[in-house]
Amino acid sequence: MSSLGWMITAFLCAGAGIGGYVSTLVVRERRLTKHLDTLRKGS
Amino acid sequence: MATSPTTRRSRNLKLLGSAAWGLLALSLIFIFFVAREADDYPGGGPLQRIFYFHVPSAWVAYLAFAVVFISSIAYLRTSERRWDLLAHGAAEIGVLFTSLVLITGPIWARPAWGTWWQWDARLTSTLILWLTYLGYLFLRSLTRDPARSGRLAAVVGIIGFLDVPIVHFSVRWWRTLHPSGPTPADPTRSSGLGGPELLAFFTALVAFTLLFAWLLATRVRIGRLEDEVDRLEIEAERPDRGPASGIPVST
Repeated sequence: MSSLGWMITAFLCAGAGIGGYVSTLVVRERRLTKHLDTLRKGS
Repeated sequence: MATSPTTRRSRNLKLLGSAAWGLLALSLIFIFFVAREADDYPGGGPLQRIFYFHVPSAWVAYLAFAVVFISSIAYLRTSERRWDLLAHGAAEIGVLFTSLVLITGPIWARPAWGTWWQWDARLTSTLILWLTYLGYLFLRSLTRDPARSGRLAAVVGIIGFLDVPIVHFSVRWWRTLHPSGPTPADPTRSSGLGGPELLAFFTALVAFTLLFAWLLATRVRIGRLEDEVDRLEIEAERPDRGPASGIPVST
């Protein structure tokens, strides 16, 4: 692979890592907020 | 009209997130369109641009583990849940960014050195750091008792931080393949970076630092929500026993 190819691979890996983590945080926060609303309404 | 602390905190978090992502976008422009390409030696050329996010990732990992270290000491002294939440969040982010260091480094090394990995001091101590904090997260997942797992994890978090100076100074203490920048012993050694390259590098460094602050604040907020859910679920299961005990209250 060319130098450019390796550089793009590294960049995509870093982007996927950060993007993946941010997505899990966003999904977790939404799910918890929704669940919390349900629990508060029930109590 | 006066705003509540929760609303204000939420607005500050949004502002921090916007600043982090905005600066990250700007740093990408600087990295790919402003910084000049290095000479075409092994590890140079376009490949050298990996440096602009490899080094900031390592910086964020150091920062995250420093937060784990300080928060763990504070938690052992005070037993306040907020320190435990901070340490847990910072460890998670530290492991993420150490993973990025351990992925982007070998991607650079393969064409530059002709091998993915060398068991030299910098690489090996970084791998040990990653494994230590991976163990820290695993330890936390073993027990549902937050106070017990918090105390055990705090001890690991403090001991694990001892590896950070070893990682950092390994390139000076031992002969390694890993490149090093200017050192106090050799301050005249040039980093080889000109004005545009330094601009790209420091913009990325600040962007990654802001991103860390935003990720940590978001992670701590999720930790608080999890505590609140646990508390309400236990109260719902045992309505006759009053408020749930044993569930940490985030302060």
